[in-house]
Amino acid sequence: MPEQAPALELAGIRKEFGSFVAVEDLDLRIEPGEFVALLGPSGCGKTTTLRMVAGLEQPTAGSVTIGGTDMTRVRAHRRPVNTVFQSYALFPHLTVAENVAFGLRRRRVDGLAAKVAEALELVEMGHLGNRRPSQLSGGQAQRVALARALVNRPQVLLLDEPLGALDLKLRKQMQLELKRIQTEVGLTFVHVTHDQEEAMTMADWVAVMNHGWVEQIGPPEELYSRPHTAFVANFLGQSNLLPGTVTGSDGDRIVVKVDGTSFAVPRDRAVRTSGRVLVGVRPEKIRLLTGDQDAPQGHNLIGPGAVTDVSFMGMSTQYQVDVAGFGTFGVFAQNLASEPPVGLGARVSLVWEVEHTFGLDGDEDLAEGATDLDGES
Amino acid sequence: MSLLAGLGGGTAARPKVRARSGHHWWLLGPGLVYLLLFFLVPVVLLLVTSLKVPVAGAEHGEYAFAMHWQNYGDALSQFWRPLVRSFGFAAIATLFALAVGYPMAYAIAVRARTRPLLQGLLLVLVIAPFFTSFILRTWAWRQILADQGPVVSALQWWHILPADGRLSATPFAVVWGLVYSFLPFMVLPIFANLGRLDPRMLEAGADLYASPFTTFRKVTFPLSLPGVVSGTLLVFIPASGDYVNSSLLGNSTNAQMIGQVIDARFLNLFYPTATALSTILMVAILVLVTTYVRRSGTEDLL
Repeated sequence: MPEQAPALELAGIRKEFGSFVAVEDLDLRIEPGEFVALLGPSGCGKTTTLRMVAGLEQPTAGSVTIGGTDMTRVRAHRRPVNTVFQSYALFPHLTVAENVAFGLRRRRVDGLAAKVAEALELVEMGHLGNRRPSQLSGGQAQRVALARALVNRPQVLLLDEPLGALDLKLRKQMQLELKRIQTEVGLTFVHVTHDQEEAMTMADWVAVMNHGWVEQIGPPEELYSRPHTAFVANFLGQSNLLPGTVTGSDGDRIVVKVDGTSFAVPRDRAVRTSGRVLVGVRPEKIRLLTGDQDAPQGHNLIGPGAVTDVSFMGMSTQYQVDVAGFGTFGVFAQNLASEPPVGLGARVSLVWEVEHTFGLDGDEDLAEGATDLDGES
Repeated sequence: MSLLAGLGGGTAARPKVRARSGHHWWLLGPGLVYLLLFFLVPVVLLLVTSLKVPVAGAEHGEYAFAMHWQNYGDALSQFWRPLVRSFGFAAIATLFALAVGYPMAYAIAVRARTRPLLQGLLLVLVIAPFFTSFILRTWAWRQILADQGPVVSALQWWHILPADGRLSATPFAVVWGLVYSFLPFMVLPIFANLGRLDPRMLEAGADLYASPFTTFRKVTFPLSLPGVVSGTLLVFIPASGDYVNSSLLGNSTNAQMIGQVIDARFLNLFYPTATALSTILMVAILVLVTTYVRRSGTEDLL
């Protein structure tokens, strides 16, 4: 079988609104059948990128290739893509079934009724085909919007924050369902979201965007465990970052000195291996050591410091630990039976495996992307 | 959801409290008195007068109540032509007003959406004719369409109109006048409706393979139907009863409208015929409009 053309290829895509650059020289290649999430805070250019794929915005520069055909100058209604809009944008004057049939009618597809019924069945809305959009709940409207796009079997299905208006529980349920439907129909999905958990739950690939740039693209696990920029480290989950300088190397590790304390960073987990770097570790990788425990081998160690905040969160507990000279560290500890609880004000040291340490460019702002306070959304 | 439900419960409970106090009758009072004095009483008088007969031996213009239903039959058999013609003219004028007014409303509401200054200016231009008298403006059209006037001369020069052709005192002039007079009543409701058109609907149309024209046909126009229904009613109803345009721009043979007939009957003191015709006109409009609104099927959009 010959190599298939990518479902979607963006090359050097750029979009300017007046003097504001919404998307800067973005390259993206998506293979058929993949589920890709464009993740980023509002204003990062993710929706603009999606709209350029849909043909609803003209790129200032660059090209959009869909299924191997250059579609940069092709108007929206001639592109083999469909969008699930953030506000659903269902036609209020048409019934649910007529909404779903809209795209098929325009292309004069045969077996219309059967296809509409099948699409509505797929999103479990078969019984509501005669309703008007005004008679639907948010979750139902969302399903209809999805069916209306899916039924056309587009080469790329675009989803613009489709779950944003749903409440948390329904959102979680729809995330799983979207993933199921995507697997079932085998279509290429490009999903825009600002919810990192949503992106990681559903997507095969996540492209983290910031200020019109793709900061990093990769499978969710890789982005999480090996972020390349401070923005990714902070936006995708949380990170503890320490600015230091590379002082040497030890086999496949580099040694970074931060304010007199040495840390080991695996060479292949470091973006830079000389000069100024940021040493990073995820909060759940850190273990708290109380006074009578020894630091194990092959670990980075810092402290002791004082516990300044303890938040019990059910399965886990979130600690804030102040270490003199290094600032405040966030630590997530699983509430396992074997771990003794640590109280407020306790003196603790922090240890984590060297393999869980990552290194970033030291010229970056270590608070970049960390504005997201609640971590959930 | 629970917050909304709570709000809903709050607003649902309130009217009950108000209803008990009875204050709302005071608020309705002026409107009710007005309707009673200036609508109900005249309608009753109209009906009563339409059933009167001339007093035997008295002067012309004196009538007595007699339950004389034949007045209706007589009025219809004598004046059914202008009555039918009125509805015909009004319908044609409504269609023309829609054809001219819809693009105007679309341009102002959708095309000028991002330019509020231009939008305001265009709206003022639509409303500006109201600043001068309706009668004066119709007189002006009489001058413009006059036999020696610029329009007729130009049309004759281009051989669109034969050398002995004319526009004044023709059905064309009357319909033209009606379109002109009531055009703003078509433009404004459609403008108000299209102003609320969600641009995302147009994007959704384009996204679902509809060309701009198909999107207009299948999305924009159906969504603007409530505005179109309002506009057509606001043009059709006054146009059906109008007598100014037919008096000033028409003639008495093939361009006479029912309003003109009623006006003349009243002036010549034929009160029962005039009131019978008024009643017939009112009922006919009511039936036509009700059928139209029912059939246009826009109830769930209104």
